[in-house]
Amino acid sequence: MTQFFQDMGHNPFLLTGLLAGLAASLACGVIGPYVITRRIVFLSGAIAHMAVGGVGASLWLATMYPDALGWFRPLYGAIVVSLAAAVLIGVVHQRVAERMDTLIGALWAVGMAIGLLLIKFTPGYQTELMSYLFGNIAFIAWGQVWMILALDAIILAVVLVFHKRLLAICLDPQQAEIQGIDVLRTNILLLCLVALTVIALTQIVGLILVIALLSLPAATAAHHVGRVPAMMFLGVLISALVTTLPRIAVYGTAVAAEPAIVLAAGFVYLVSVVIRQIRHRASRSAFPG
Amino acid sequence: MADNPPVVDLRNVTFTYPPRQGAAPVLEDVSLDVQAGDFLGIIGPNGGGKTTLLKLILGLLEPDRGTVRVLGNNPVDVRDRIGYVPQYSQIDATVPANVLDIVLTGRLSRSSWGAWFGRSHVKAALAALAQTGIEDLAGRAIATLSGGQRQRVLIARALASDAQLLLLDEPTAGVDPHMEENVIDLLHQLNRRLPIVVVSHDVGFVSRHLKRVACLSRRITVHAAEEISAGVISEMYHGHVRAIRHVDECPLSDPGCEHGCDALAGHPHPHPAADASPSD
Repeated sequence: MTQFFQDMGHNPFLLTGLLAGLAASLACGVIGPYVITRRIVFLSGAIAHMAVGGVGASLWLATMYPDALGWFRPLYGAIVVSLAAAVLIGVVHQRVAERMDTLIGALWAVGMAIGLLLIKFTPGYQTELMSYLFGNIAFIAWGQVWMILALDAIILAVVLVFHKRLLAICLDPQQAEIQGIDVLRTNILLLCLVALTVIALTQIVGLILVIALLSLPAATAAHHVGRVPAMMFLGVLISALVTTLPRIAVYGTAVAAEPAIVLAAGFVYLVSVVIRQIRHRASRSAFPG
Repeated sequence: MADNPPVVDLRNVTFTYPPRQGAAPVLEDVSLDVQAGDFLGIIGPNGGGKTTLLKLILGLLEPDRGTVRVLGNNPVDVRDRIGYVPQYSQIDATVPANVLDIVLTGRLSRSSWGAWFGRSHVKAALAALAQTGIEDLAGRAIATLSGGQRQRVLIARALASDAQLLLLDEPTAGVDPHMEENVIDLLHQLNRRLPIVVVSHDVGFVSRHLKRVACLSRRITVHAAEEISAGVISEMYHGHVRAIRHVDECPLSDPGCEHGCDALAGHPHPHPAADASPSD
């Protein structure tokens, strides 16, 4: 573990990996409470997996038309597709009451399958796709850290302007509608914020496991605080710990950092559940009969 | 003698839920008016159109035929002046919000941008909570409240929007009879300055406490409350109906029984004779 700090002197990627984790924690801590309150963890997973299609499509297009589209990096494809997915899913969610579960599942799987299919036609880019699927915290460039910070700035600005509306649709969409709020548009806005958070987290844990960080820190915070602003604060804290400490702890071992981060998030959540149960039992026994 | 336009004015409203081909209308040629000071109950069987009627008044639905006017306007334009109180069970008790947060959402039409509500809106929300007698619960989580308290939170939310009309959907469902009296007292108080429309399954409650009763089962007839007879009710519900006899002396309706009886232990408690009329 101390090896990590010793190596930081000559391996700049160690620092950028930590900073990227901390930066992404801001996004997932702030957006997480909306995700779990509105119960859109499944929809968020669909956005993340459809983004794989975007990554595959970009790599394929850049290989097929290197002169025209060589500049179109997989990250752009991921951003475009995840935002488009957010809009599509938002509209489907509102308009199609029945079979929505199936439809979203279909989009999830088909989106990812398209990405995997296309990557077969771009030999030599398998590793690049892998790093989008499973994360690649060991090789994050400074440019990516700035990108995550830029996403943070956008997310924070939007939340500051739209928080009351976002909270309203999470608490009681019918009441929001009666109060004159466009529920469909606000829903889509929330899903777009989720899409941006997914992009921020891609390098840290990979698109496959992104939903863990979107939901677990917020769910853990929900055990201990009762209002969204406090949940955001605590969620950012938990995410920050979970995206940095496991990385340091497994450095130099055979254990991969990205799954370790997700396991840590899960472990923290389980411990929180247990603590809550103990507290619940203790308060019950304090009032006999 | 009402020279003022009615607060709610439905004329010959017909509505069918999509898909409309061949489906029977949920509301057929329904006309209804609500005047200032009114205290109207709407009763009828499930599927008879009670909730649909509320949604039409709120402008959440548009009639296929006929017109709906609220406060002289298209309902959508005045939605924020209608205080809609759904059943308290509609609020998910696990939401990360306290009572004040819920009531503040009644101020959204006045202040929907930004991240927090200004002082004037918080004051209005607290005033609404005071009107429903639960000001001291402002910081509490919804999950820690009883059904009756949650109902008051929703009433406060409706009042916080400076409502000029209250619509309540089954306000006494799931509320025990003791609490029910408190809700009724609160509604009577509010009725002094607000017209109130209550949708309810509890025929006894509606006919005993409200001024007018509308029987809705696709079509509508409006009665003064005293006119409701067993015949009308059973015709409405197509069959034998057992009215809930709200006998005040029954121990189950008064947990603080002054005789010290333990209802659970089956200690006999004097009841009036079964066919005596209920005292008022």
